[in-house]
Amino acid sequence: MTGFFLSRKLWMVCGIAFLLVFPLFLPTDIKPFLLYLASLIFLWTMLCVSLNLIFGYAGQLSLAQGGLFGTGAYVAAILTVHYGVNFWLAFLVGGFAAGMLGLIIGIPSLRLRGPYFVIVTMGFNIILVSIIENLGELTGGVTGLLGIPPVSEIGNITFESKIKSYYLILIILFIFWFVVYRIRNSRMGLCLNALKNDEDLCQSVGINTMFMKLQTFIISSVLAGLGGALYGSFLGILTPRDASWHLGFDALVFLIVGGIGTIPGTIIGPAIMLLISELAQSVVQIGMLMNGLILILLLIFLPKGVVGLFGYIKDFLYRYNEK
Amino acid sequence: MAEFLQQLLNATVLGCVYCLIASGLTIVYGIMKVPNFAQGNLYMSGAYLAFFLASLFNCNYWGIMVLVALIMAPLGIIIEHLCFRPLRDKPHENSFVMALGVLMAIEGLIVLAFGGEYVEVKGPWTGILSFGGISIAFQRVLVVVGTVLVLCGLYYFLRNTKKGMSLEAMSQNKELALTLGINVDRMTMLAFAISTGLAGIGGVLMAPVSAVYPEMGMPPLLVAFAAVIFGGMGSVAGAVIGSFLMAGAQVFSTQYISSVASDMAVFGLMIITLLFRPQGIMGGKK
Amino acid sequence: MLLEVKNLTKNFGGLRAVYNLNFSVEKHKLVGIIGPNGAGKSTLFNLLTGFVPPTTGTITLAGQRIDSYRTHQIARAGISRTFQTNRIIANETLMNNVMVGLLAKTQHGFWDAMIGLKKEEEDRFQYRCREVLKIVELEEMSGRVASGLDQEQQKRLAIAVAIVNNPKLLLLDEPTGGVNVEEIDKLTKIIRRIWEEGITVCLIEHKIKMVTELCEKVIVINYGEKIAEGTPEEVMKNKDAIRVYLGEENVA
Repeated sequence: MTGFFLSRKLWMVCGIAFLLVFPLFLPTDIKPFLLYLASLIFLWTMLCVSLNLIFGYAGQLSLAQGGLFGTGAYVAAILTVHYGVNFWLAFLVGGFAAGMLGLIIGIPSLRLRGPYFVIVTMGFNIILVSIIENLGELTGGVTGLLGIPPVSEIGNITFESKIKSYYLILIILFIFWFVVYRIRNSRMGLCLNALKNDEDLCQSVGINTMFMKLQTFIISSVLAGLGGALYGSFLGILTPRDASWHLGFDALVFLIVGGIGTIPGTIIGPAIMLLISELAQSVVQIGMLMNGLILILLLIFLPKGVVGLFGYIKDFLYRYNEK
Repeated sequence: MAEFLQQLLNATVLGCVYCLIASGLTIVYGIMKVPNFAQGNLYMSGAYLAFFLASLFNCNYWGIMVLVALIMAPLGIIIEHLCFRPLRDKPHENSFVMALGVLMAIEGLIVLAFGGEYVEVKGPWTGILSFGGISIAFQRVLVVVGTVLVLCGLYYFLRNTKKGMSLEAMSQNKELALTLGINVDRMTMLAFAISTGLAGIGGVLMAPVSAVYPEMGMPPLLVAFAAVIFGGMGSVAGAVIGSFLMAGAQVFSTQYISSVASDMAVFGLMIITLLFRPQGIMGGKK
Repeated sequence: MLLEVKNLTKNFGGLRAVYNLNFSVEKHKLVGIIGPNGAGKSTLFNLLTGFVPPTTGTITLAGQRIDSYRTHQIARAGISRTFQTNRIIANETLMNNVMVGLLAKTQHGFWDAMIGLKKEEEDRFQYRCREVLKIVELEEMSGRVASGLDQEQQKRLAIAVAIVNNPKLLLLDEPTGGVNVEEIDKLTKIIRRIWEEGITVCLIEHKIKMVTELCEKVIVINYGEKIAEGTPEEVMKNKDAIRVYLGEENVA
């Protein structure tokens, strides 16, 4: 019986089903707000998926994910706001732009071991924000870009309503998860895990680790960019903070809360943290101090996050079952 | 010509600040192989601590200098003990993330305690020294003098005391140092204490001249990292050279191009180093 | 001649790790490299596999100069190695660990993650991995996670990973380090089995008995220089070799 309850596939199916039927059981007065919050959680999940790919699977800590997300967001927004481009085209261009940036940052920094990649990605992010703030005419500078139109129609389906928006973002999130799931359960996933554990060993069996890392980083950049484009359109407004490394850092905290290196962790983390932040808003300000402390405590006591916690419970139940 | 000299002077002052942050960064990295991202905020904390001591206790500047060094060094040891030591056996990346956590926690704490607005710290001498078309505030002279004194002290310590030599040996080649029986734990604590102390002093020196606000530690952090990469991780001399180079690049590109260009100049130098001489100019083999 | 090393020298700053090394390994031979600790044997392996670039000298594999190649290029050219420390992926199964050794031979990128592998290719790889696990006598545990292995089993796993893609030359760095006496015999048998499959083997060892039993040629290294070279019997009688191992008094 416990076996049935602990089956991973069961949890996965239940989770997906829950997300799909969630909007149908909401009380009408708070429904729009909850749909908005859920959509926001999904967008953060996309950013976490991107970070999880490069850090959780490949072991390379990138502090540029916020910047890549913001690049996709700003590029798409600029195209739709200033040039009237159809959202879906802008969406793809945003993802492409982020991918290109990933290529450029990755080449000098991924060749080296140790903290070089982390430092370069942090530096890149800081410079990117500086550039965004200075390109006032295109980006709205420090005050930001306003009036970003919502997602354009596909055929004759429009996406202005909250519920349609929810499902659209959810479907795209499912696609993100599918991509990352396929990677993890393939040769590439094995390669990334091996690379994360022991890069020298990989090289000694002929794997071109630089190419693998670069490839992974570019994919994660594209995902971040696409997520950002969607985010800009969803919120309707962008500020430089949406491209800052603070954003990427928040995603890192969320991911560690949820469970780094896992797929459910990418949504559990943002869900918990955004809910707490909503509930606590009247009481205390979830700010950097909380995020920092949570991170420090988690790293020492529960580095695998909520998913890790479930793992411990599962192990405990197995051992209990065997008695 | 006068303008050029003026900029050179500005670059020197800036370089001094970067030196104090970068040397601590490189020492800690050399020993623990962890880039202490919190270093920038430790510099910032030094400035805020100065403000705190000045406004609450009406302490005089020199007293503040001493007190900050005496407070920051043990603080570094505490941080090392509570946050980094438990992660010794875990994968490297966890320590990177921990450093970020500490960075955030410090900034959050400062914002909670002092608010997000700018605060002011007064130096011991106001007034400007002018000669030959160049001018420099007395406080800035103090920054340079202070940094030179501190760096000389550091140099003496690293080269002429037993503890210091062990520290330097360890940061250059950990395995060799271990076989010589050097105590890793003690060295790590020492490294942290020195690094936070230096950053704190930097904060006190700069507080009267530059804006004191919670994010003030971030821009210098990136430059300090670029300086450390240029100079070679683990080498204090390299960090010093790199700091002045970066300061010069920043000052001159701001003057002749724009302020965004100055960020890019630093970043560009970092990337060029990584592409062509990743071990830094003073770095040894890979 | 499979491997030719000419005038190989490596300096680390002021430290001379390997000096003017000249030797060759013929195809399908079993060569042993012995020498005291710190003699430069592991550095030699690092030089041969591209982990460390030579200061001067050349390394030629099957007629091709490889001394300027990067590590993964050398591996693809046909040199595989094990390490003194057991390098395995602790959180993967044995089967997956061995599969890592095959990754360079197959597509392992994004596109293939999306479209998946053909069934027959997948089967072929599984078969090869199982075959190799059989050679190192770890087949029954193939589904187990590698962290559950003990020291000696890990060494065998590392060997399996190194031979799975049929290298031309296998470098074993102290394959019996920290292993007890019965297990040494098992490992010796396995190494011989590998050699019989057609792989040229070059191993670093401290256990003289094992080297003399197993190897056709022995090279003695001390302070980074070649002291002696020849069949085990020749080397055992060589005065310089004896001096290195047993001290001056024993030469006579």
